[in-house]
Amino acid sequence: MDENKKTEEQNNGDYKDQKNIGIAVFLLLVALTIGEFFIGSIAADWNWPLWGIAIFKAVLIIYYFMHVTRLFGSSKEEGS
Amino acid sequence: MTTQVEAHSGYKYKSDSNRLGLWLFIISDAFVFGGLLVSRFYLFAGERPELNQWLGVIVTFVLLTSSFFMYRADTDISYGNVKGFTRNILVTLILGILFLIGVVGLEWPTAPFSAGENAMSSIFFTMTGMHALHVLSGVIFLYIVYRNGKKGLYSKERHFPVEAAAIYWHFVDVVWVFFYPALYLMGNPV
Repeated sequence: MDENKKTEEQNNGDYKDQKNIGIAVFLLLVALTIGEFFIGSIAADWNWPLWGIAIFKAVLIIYYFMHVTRLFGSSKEEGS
Repeated sequence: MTTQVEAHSGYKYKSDSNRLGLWLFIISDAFVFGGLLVSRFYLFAGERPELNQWLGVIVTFVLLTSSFFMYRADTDISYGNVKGFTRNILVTLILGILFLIGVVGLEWPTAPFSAGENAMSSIFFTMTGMHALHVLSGVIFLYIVYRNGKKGLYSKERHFPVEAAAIYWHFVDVVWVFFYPALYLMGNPV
């Protein structure tokens, strides 16, 4: 279907998809933080997994929440 | 020529330019926090301050949740849901204040050292203080955006200030993503 002739229903679908992505990323961030907390409690010297989790969490936030791809013009116009 | 001028004065063009400027600022600010992180490991590599673990994880969840509501506010205004946007940005603002209370109001007074006592205390207060100042400026930024949103200044088509507030707020969250394990989890408590 032509992008310009997007129906209101499709727009509502996109809106719901965006909200669901937010929920999924948030739950993943929560799970990773719980994992971090337990790794830190069990093995204080075990730094590399903690670094790995922190980098993964940062990538999730930068990609999904900060929409870094908008910088390169690769994202579609929001809400259109 | 006229078309070129119109294209360069349009809202999208201005937003794209502003977005690039904002990201340049974010990157330069990230170097400051990166320097603090390196200092922390240089000064006490295999050790960490004996801090309240539960308070640390709770403030981390508060900030993560605030980021989630900021994302919802940004999404809402992008699709023209002004009511949802104002509600979510207000929740973000409240959670930001709660984070500040947790770190500055609860963690600082109960920390096992005072500011300037030794290298560990200095880096701890510098890292959390610098981050708290960013959270405070973010809260002020969010309040301005919230007030303007209530006045009806943002719409589905014109809402770059909301996006800017969101990018800044998520950046503050990204910084804490690294500060939390560096201060609370990595190394043996001393």
